[in-house]
Amino acid sequence: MTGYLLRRLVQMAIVLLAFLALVFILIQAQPGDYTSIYTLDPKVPPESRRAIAASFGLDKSVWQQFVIYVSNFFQGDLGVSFRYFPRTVTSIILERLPRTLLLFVSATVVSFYIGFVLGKIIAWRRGRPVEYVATVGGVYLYTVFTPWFALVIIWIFALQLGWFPVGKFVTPELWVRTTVNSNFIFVRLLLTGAGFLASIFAGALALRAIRVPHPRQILMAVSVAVVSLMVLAWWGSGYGGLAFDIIKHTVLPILTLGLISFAGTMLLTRNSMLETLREDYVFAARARGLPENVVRDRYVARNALLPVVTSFVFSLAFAIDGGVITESIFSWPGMGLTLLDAAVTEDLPLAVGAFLFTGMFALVAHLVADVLYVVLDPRIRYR
Amino acid sequence: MPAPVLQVEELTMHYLTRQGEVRAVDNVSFTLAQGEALGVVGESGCGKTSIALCLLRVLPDNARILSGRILLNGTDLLQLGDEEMRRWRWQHISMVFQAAMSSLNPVARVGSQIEEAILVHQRGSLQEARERAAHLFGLVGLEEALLRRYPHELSGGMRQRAVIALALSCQPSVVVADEPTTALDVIVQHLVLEELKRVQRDLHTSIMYISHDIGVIAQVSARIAVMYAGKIVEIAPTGVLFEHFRHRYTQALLSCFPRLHGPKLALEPLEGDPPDLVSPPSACRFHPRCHYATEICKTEEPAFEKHGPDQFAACWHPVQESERGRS
Amino acid sequence: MTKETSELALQGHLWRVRAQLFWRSASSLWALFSQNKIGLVGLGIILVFALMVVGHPILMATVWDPKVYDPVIGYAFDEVVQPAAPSIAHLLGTDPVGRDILSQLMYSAKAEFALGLLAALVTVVVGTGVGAASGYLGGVVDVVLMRLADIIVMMPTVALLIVLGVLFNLNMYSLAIVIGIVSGFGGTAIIIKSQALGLKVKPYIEAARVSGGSHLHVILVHIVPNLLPLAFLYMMFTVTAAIFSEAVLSFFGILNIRMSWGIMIHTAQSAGYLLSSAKYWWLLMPAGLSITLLCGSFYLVGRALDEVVNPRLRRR
Repeated sequence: MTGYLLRRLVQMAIVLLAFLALVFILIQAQPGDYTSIYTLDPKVPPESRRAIAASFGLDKSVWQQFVIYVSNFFQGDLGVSFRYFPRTVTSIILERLPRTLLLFVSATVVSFYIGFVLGKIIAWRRGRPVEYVATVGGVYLYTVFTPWFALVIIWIFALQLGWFPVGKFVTPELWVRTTVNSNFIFVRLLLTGAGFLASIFAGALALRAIRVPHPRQILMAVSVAVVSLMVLAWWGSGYGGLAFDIIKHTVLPILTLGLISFAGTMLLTRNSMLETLREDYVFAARARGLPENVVRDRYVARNALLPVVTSFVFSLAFAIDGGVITESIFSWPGMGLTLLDAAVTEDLPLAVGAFLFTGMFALVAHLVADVLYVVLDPRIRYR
Repeated sequence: MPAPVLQVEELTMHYLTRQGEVRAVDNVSFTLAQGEALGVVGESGCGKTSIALCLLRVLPDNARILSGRILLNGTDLLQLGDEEMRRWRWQHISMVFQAAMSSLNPVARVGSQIEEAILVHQRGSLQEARERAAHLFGLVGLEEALLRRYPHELSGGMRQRAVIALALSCQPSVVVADEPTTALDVIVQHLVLEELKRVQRDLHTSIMYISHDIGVIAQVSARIAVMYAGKIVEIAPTGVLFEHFRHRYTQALLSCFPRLHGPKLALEPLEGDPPDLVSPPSACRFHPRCHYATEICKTEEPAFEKHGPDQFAACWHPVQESERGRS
Repeated sequence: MTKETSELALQGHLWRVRAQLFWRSASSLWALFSQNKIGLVGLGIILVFALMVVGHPILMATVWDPKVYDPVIGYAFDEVVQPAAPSIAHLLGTDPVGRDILSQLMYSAKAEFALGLLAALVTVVVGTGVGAASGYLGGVVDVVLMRLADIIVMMPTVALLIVLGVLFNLNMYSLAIVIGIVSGFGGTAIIIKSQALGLKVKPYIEAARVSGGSHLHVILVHIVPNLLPLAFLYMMFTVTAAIFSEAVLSFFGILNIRMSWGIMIHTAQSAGYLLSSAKYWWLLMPAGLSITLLCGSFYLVGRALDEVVNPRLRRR
């Protein structure tokens, strides 16, 4: 296991270098000069212009430039944004990343759970009308033109029903008189969520270890208790209203993302289930007289889960990528919108920096997926 | 002879395929007494496994049981509802599958799969199920610690024993063992067969062995049924079958099986392929490959006649005692 | 008969046999495919859009006055306010600058097909090429190609296309080629490689090599034709990806093209009609639905093909 991890880490480092090289080549290959736009920008004062030019090693050879670029990357220096001058690209990314994570982690978790359950059901009802309706509906939801779909969602829930705000991160009127800024609340909100997930995960592991009857119901009760405790704590802190404002703004983007990605999970689960259904151990389980729901959940679904989990981690890896569209429609100031804005306004350092970061994020997620796979499938564990 | 635990009467089962109906099991009857071991032998594709699937009623969607009765302890399994049948399975009749590896859930520990079968079919606490699983492992000669292993962490022989323990988990009256040792090497095969024999003797369980290998069948069964193209062509106690076989197919089958003792046989290897069960040969299905076939074999089906105590065969030209001993 | 002519005759004969074999496998694939109702739904919708492609030039030449109905430079003089609601003259209304929506919709369909098919073609060529080479040659070639493929698979596509769009000012064709390369060199190549690995050990490949076929000959004549069904399947998914990406990039105004479904939505958005989409539904609905329907239909066909090509999904 450790050997495997080490090997994967070394591979990852090589891939990261290759990725950096690829991006570097792209920058070099573009018409015009990356750094000339940079240094000719009127907003940049002459002294920092020289400093920037030197930091990029403009006077040096392409090879030396590449080395500087790579070493800058590993020191966390992705350059300075044009638009938000003099803020560094890294600081902007660090501010925006958690917002994207919140959106995507919650949307992905919810949609994978729903998608997995529904996929299980339609695979089990193969050939019935339910399957056809769910498959066709699922495919069109999966390939729906996201911006348009998001607009439809906004139109229904924000404009017609008026339940949720149209977009953006917060309602400015609420925050005028407070002493804290939105990031302060937001980071704490995020920590609360992470704490919740961690406690549920730990609880599930503990329940599995001691093997009590009705583990599901106990877990349900525990999560309800934890949630109510957390809500009470926020209420007591006096920031409950502000936190609620942020949460309200997250509902529609999460709904949109969830609806789009649950279909993908559902279809994947269905295929994976159908492949698993052909396995001998499923037949053997039926021969053992196990009830259908036991065969479905413990034999078929448990084994069909593996590719679904991998795709779950991958879809987290592409969170920022998918975020571009949804975030821009909902004006949610996360990584995706940052990347798009930077690209449209030709803020190259920010655009390339965000892209590099996105790629690195995907790389780490791939590693996580591999490790998870090993944990979930005991057959690979000892190879 | 004790009262039969399992009584199969005129069972016929077809598979509906694009090529037509496959007559996998055709008018098959046999009985299995309490504590008895019956062997079913035949070439692959002759319908042996299909009989097993009928007994447990775990047939694929395209299979149709057209007629017959399967009486287990006096109850006709074919009359039970699906849910009732599900509860009967494993409780009263269980099965040891060909490939032990693929009949176990790869992501669950062996022990928990045994406990699961026990808990589903019999009331009782998890603790009791665990104790029973440990007891079963002892019974088949496995250490208790192996219960915590995953299937891929066991060797082939251990896995097969675990699958046998699994088959015994609910104390069924009948165990169907479908090629229980095919995947094992000869020594392990021998050990596993001895284990099965001991279990049969000690627990007084009836076992139905299914194999293409008459050597395996002979080692463990008291009676042997020979199947050809969906039909049982001869059934007799093991000793009788080897010494006084009647059917020409049995003769051909035994001649492929060299022996040290007993009458010497002219080696008459089987020629041609097993018949296509979509359009099987007329009357006696063996006639295209039989050296002794005459016109009647093609036109009229031979009756299943008594040839001695407990011995039955369906052949127009049965082997005569005078033929034996020639070399 | 001299040796050469007999060889030529044999060659001709071989081609006939190959054509026959191809025809037979194609018709049996169709028989399997046509059982899949979901795939047929997708195919039907694609055909409707294909009819739009054919219909547009005919309508422009006969019924529609180019000055009014030109998708890019036309102006609906007959309407007082733009965007005008649907009427007999303009079945789907007009856009904020007075152009006929239906005409734009039909005109764009052609571009979408061209984009999708070009991207798919590039995918097939790149995917089978890389996959076959990597699987058949193995060794260093395999390692280098597959690690590259890993990086490409990992690449966040939308972000990559946005960055590329800004760096290189992509148009329809370069976009198609980029998408084709990304999907061909990524996932498709990896899957095709594993298929090629299986083919490589088949006896007839061995035979071809022993009888003196060059690597290129073996790859082109024996390996690639056997990989094509799988490549064709991934082609369908590439079409979906290409049309979708084009729409997204056009919507963001990053692409350098004149008219497409994405541009139609972009136009509505930049004119500020995005949030009043209920009142001006014809600005968003036709284009948005078209993108969704066409993408989804290619995807459905791809899935149906998957069940045909991939026996593990077939019903028992």
